[in-house]
Amino acid sequence: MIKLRSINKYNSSNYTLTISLIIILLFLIVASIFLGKTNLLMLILSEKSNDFRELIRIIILEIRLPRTLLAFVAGFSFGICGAAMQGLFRNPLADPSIIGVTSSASLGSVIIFYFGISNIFFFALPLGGIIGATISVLIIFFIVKSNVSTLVIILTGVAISSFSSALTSLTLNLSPSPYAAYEIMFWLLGSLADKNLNNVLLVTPIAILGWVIILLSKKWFTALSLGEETAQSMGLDLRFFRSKIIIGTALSIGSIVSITGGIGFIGLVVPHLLRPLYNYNPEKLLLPSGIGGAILLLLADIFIRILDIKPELQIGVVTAIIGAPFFIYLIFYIKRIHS
Amino acid sequence: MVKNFLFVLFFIYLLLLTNISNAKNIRAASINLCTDQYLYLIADKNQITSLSYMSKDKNISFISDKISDIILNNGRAEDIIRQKPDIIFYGPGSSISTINLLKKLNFNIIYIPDAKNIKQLKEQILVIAKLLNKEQKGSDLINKIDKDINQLINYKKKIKNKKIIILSPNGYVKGDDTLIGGILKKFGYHNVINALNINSYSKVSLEEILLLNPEVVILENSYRDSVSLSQEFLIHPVIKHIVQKGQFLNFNKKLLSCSGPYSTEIIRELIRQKND
Amino acid sequence: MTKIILNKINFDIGKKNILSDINILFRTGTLTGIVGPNGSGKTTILKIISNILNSYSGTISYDNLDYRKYKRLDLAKKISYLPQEMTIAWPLSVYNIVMAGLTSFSDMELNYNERDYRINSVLEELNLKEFASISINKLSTGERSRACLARALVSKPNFLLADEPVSSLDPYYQLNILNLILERVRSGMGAIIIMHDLDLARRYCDNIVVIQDGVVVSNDRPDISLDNKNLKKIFAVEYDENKLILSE
Repeated sequence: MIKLRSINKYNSSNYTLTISLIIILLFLIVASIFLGKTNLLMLILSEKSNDFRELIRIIILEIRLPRTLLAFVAGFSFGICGAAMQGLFRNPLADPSIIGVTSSASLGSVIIFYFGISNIFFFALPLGGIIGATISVLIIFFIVKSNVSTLVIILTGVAISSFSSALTSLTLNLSPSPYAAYEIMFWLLGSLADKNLNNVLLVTPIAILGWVIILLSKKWFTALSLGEETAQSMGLDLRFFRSKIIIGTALSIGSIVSITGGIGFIGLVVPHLLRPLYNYNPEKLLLPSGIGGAILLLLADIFIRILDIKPELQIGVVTAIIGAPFFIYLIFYIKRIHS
Repeated sequence: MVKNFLFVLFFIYLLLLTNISNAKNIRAASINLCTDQYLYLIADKNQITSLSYMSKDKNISFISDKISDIILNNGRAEDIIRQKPDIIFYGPGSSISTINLLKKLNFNIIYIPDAKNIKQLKEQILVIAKLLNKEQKGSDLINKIDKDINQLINYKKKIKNKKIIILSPNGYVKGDDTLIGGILKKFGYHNVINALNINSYSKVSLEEILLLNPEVVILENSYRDSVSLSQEFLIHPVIKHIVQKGQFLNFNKKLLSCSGPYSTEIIRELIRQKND
Repeated sequence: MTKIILNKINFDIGKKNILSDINILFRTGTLTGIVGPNGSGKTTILKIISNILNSYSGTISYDNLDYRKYKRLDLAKKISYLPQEMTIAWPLSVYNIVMAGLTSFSDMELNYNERDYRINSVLEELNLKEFASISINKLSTGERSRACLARALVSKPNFLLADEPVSSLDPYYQLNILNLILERVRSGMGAIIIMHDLDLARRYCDNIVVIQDGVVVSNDRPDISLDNKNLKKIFAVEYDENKLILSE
């Protein structure tokens, strides 16, 4: 008993906090299904006719459920991949949206989608996102190698982001559909609204596979924070580990972005807020970051649904409004720590 | 006396001369699809220096197959300036910087907003006809529209206040203050988005559409051979569900976005699809 | 007694030769110092022995079995590497850092309680108990080095490889850390340490390997390896009645 307590004291598995986060998450999932422009509970109570039962079934099954599920899976993916990228690069700014993974996943999906390739085989759309994400992480690794200076990471990210955004825009302009040109905003800022349940169900297992791959190799993150060579001397096969994290991130982020577009900053904000609560332990931080990411995205989504603005705000607008100032704050925070 | 008379005669002659030469000289360009169609119907072909490239697209233009001998422009100043038109017509979608540049270069540019109803449509025809010195052609066009409407008005009796929604890709809807909305209202349909206080043009979510419970759905259905997220909206299971319950009509985009002087085609299409 | 034997090790980076024909034998129970001028290839030798670099030619054997026949993790449990500079990415607590030293063990090999027991005993051995929950950033350089040493020792390695573990420390911690290592060596561990300070090397090492330009110059008892002939040749210094002076 005494031994166990000493583990809890120093070792950073903050079980109480993790369990609280899970409870909040469950609460938000329920809230996300029941909250919205139409008050579902009132509707259920007021009407009992068959027609209305059908209406409620459709609202829940075809509108609210895909949205809630997508917010959960996307938020979890952005959170956990943010924490994983930061652990891998040993830098708190290495968020998928900042290092350009999201925008290149967008590009991959855009190419597949607008030229009708996604109709050829059902898996094509998420595959496009995954390929886009993989290419960008590989480019970053090629440039950054083991020089994990913050400046190099951010500049590489900026370059990849703007390059893929430009190509996304070009693809949309060249697309045979005249509506495409107006959809650049979606791909850059993302949205969870009115998605097809089938699409959501297609990407969910792929994203979860990505989480599992990341979580299975989590024990090496702490070792890696002592330096790449130290970790290697402890028996880490660095190349294999990197590949696993890259594949896991690309699977999650790539498949999610192919449905949601590029929602940013979740992976930056959430791990940073939770890190001190888990004693900065990068392996203990992974799962809570996923849960926290899901919480943040569900909250943001509920917020824009309750907010009475027409047409509805895009979710990426909300996350960027929270995230971008946070990003600037983080840059100063890092500067202060290093000096 | 004679001298005076001759002077008056000369004056009248001068006036006539300027008028005729004016009529010959007024040449116009259009950089907007809606004004393209006006111009095509009202002006003589030799009065048109160019129309916008969009008028060539059969999905949005009524005149796509009739303008093979007319020069098309891309809506940018450089294209227009070379042709030296006397008047340039533009609409709400035109680029502000292009307009400002043309203004700066002292071109006579005329703004024609989207007509919100038949009355505005007729007014716009008159304005354009006058500017082009084609008053006769203008009033002929108005008479034709009136005749068409009177002919079709019998259809109204068959409609029993049916709840309708006019749905475009990405959830855009049109209210009573639009040409198509106004015409449908005139013919006795009730637009369900009135309940959301939308009169002209807005975006609604699937959930809202579902709760509005329309009986007739007009779907903008163009560019079937291409894909986009906006078009995906129209094949969402929820839309399929609504369509299964009620009646749905596929409308070409040209009937919904810039029908202008061809607006009576909306009713023709409605009758045609309902009789099928 | 366990041995690490380096046999005809050559190592190049690009076209540049870093190590050539290195043959050394290391034993448990012995503190071996590696001495040589900057850029002589000392660190490279350490990284090769700790299996970080493996693009060398020649063979290394641990316990008479070739390195390449071991699983990475199995070798890692037996050999600990303490790099010269410990840049730790996050302000981890000392307990967490020491725990990272057990990463190579699976949960089957060491359960939670056993891990905690090992960590606590090494913290006690190195007098770090009071810092267990404190962030490494808040410690002094000397305490931080001790915490890093604890990380390397917690796995109970047969060999400790340390790259200049005391060169940036105050005299108190220099002796403190070397004493802690020596204690472990006396109870059976092997230690291979790159030494900067020749006085300390003479005092603590059982054996000293002198390296210059990637070649082993001497591998013998301290007084032989660091005799005036070698010192003059390599460092341009010599001993004059136990005092280092510049050689003429």
